[in-house]
Amino acid sequence: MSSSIASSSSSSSSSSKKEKKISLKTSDGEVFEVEEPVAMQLEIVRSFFADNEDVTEQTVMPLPNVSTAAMHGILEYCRAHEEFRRRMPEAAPEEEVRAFEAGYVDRKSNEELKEMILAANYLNISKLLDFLTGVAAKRIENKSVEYVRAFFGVENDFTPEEEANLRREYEWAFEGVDED
Amino acid sequence: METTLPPELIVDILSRLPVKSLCRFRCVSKSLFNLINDPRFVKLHLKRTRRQRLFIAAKFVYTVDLETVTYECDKLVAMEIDSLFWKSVNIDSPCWKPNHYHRQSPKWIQVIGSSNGLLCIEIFQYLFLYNPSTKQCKQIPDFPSKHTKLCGFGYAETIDDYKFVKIDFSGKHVQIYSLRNDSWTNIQIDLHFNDTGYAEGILINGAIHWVVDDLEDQSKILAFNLVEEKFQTLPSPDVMKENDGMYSLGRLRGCLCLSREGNIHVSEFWVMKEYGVKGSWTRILISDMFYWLKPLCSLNTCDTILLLMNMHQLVFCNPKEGKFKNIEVDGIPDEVDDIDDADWLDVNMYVESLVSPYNKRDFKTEVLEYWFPIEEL
Repeated sequence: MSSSIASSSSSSSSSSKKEKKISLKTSDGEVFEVEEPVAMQLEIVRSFFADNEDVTEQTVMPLPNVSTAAMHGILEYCRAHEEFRRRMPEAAPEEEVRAFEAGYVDRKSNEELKEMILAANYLNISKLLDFLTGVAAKRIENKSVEYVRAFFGVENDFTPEEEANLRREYEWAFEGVDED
Repeated sequence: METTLPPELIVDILSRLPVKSLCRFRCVSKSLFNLINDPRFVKLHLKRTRRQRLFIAAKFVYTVDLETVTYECDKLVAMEIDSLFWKSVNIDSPCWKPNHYHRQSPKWIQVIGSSNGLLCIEIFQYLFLYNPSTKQCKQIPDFPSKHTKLCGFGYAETIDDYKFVKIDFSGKHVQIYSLRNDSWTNIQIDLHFNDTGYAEGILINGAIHWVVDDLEDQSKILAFNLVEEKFQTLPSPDVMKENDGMYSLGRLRGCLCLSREGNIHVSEFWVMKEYGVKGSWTRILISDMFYWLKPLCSLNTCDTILLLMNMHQLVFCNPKEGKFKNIEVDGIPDEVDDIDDADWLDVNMYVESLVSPYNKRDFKTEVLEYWFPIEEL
């Protein structure tokens, strides 16, 4: 590992040993011990610790709207970004970030993606939310009307005649649609 | 159990989609239909996406997607705009020959301005508002096409209206069409300038700009504020005082540009980086000579600007790195029957948007409150 040289310098080794952890408890009761700089990317956590003077290192912050599965996904993203930031504080290595993000979302199903969007929204991680909603848009942009109804869980409340009329009006928009 | 996203997150996702997808997704449900038509959504989408395209008029009309174009591309791909356009402008077939470019005699199709995805187009003395992304088109009624000297089209944000402006050759009458009111108004003015011919104005900051010559033959930049409907002159770069000749305006990254045109060949143009500030005029050098220049846009993908040179040649240019190259357009057949017309392209940049050329709509308030629980725009 290339970090061996860096960790031999006295100041960085001492600070990494004492790295502060923050405990976060998900809706299904699992407690995650998260490195402070990573946890602070979660705006809801940052403001909780900034606004409450009586919290201590032992405080376990409950996150009742976040499932354990979603939390794993969120932390994977935040840890990767913290790592990019630590290595290159000035400017993120764009290509590496893109490669990581592409691989990261390829593994997620639509259900997992939506769950993470909800979690990122609740935890108020604007960068991740921005990224995930962009991914969702890319996923549906070339899909059929039926696919989008299923994706958003929206009922079709048009009569068959109304829908046929609308489809006729925008006939050209139905050309070149991907298969579901 | 399926995860359902709350309305504000659905709005967020939809606002990132291309217009074609949104036209299709109007069929998803009544609430999505209403959302996609909602002026607040239209504005949010416009602010978000900024997908740039070119509208090219030659013998036919074409569109070019610039979304993924980079400096490394060797050619652009033009798609012919289909018969729907001709159907909606109510003209059977585009079989006229374009006139050879001449400032006094406009071509068969003349793009007067492009603003928020709406193009204002004059076709044989009829005036249209056309959104190439939604293919909606509206003919502006009672268009008094004769004796136009200066004209222009654009959006005035503070009054949320699109206006078309024309000034006749006498310089005493200004006629203004407002899309919001769907009607014309006239104002009397007393502008004194020499006849320099027909010109389409450039929209910046809610005002339309032209270069005119005053009675001492001195070129001036004239601005017409679309909100107040008043004229003023803007400070021009010194080059304009030092050199006689013809000048034309353009728009690049939201800034006013100025270039010399005519018989001389030059390799520079000017950008007013800060609106109305004389000292902010900046010279941009490019590594080729031209006699006519129209800046089109700067690419989203890289630090490259796209220019139309000498009325027919598209070029990529990166002034910072001194890079420059000609770029071909695939999909536009050459004119074989008339040599004079072969080298003629009218190119304008537009952004993909849902903005409608129709003016009146009624919405059910409860639907709006459902999608926009918090006033975010």
